[in-house]
Amino acid sequence: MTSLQALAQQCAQETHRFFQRQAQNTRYCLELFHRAIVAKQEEAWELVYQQYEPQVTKWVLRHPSFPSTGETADYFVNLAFLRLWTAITPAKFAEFNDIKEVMRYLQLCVHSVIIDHLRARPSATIGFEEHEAQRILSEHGIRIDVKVLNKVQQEKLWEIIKTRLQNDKERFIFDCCYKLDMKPGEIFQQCGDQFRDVREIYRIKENILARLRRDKEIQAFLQQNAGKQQA
Amino acid sequence: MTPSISPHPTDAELLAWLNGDATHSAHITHCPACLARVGVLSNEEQFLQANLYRADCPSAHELGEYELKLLPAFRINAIAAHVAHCPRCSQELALLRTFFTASPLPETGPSAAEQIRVIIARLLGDVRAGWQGPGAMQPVMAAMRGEEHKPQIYEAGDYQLTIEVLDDPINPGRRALFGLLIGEEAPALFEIQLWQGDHLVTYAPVDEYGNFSISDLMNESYDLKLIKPELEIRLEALRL
Ligand SMILES: [Zn+2]
Ligand SMILES: [Zn+2]
Repeated sequence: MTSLQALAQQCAQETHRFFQRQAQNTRYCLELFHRAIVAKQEEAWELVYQQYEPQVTKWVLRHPSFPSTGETADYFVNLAFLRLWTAITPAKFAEFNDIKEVMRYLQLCVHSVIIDHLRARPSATIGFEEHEAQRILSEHGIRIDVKVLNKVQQEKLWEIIKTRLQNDKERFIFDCCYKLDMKPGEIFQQCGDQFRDVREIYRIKENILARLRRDKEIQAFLQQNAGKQQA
Repeated sequence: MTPSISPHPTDAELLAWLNGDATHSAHITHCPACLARVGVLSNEEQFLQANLYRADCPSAHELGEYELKLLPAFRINAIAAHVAHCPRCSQELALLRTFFTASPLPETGPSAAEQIRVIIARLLGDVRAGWQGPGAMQPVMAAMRGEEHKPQIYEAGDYQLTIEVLDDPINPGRRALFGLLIGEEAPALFEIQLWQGDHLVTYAPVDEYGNFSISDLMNESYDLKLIKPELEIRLEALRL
């Protein structure tokens, strides 16, 4: 038996006792993680995966947003370990005093990969439903082709748009609607004192969209990037 | 179908319909011109959203590291300021807290260090009395033998510990450590561990006669620990 396998066995026992809430030391687990993460030993990493995969699966299934992702638990389990692997630096690892802190971090990895997945589909973000209107449009054969730019292009787009927004109200409405995916009703509910009624918010949106539509630079920007669509 | 009886709604009204306001529904759903216009507006809105959504927000992972207090001060301040006015990040933080609460982690309890009695081993001398370590007369011999240390005897409370360090016969250039623990009825309860700072380098069992050995070691300094439940015998800065 190699020392690493012995370590993994000790760690398995410790982990079992840990989740059984038996006060104990967790030095072997911490050491196994140390070898996997800091020393980058591939075999240690495989043992970490084997050891904690069932626990991570439980966490994925228990995450409040997991049901709305439409993905399998395995998908997020793999991503969570990958996240742990890439996000935890030796310096960060040095901050951990016991296995509980490592487990917390692994839970964070589960959470962040699920949220990343949802962020990539704004219409599925927390609390938002598909629109009835979209259904009617598609019934009438009106297709919505959303062009997704790469990160650099997105930043350029925002740099241009920023200069086209004319006042604080427009900037606020733009941020709420397009950067935070808030509906005008929701904005009015939260910041009602700043607007006469929800129709004012719609009129501001109308003005912004009309200006961006007339804007040659933005139109040219869209044209020149045509054909570089993702997803 | 008589869509032109009422005037076409404004873009603002079409946007409202797009967002679920039913006020002009009867007109819009029967007016091809308005539906086409809604299509244009919807395309524009979704384009902006798809490319700018959460553009100013910290990543979900960084937000989590903020919650776990793992970020440097300058990021903590920036994220605190952002979260204070960003409803989405506040929601995600609340969700993370809910998840942590729903998946509680056991306390690791009083640390082993608090429960364990520690005895620091004290050097009594080497087995052949009179030897005081590599002296002026010995460097050539020592080099030939690979700088082997003679067995050293340590006292730790009621225990006695003999340690010998030799060249590792299997791994050239490495060292091997052999030891014997006396004074324990069940020495196999013990485990030998070698530490460097906070890092557990390696460990091995102690057999039923109190013997232990560890090979393939670097020629460096280690803290040696003999550990059984509630007791630790510690030998600090053992030079191999
Ligand atoms: Zn119409
Ligand atoms: Zn945010």
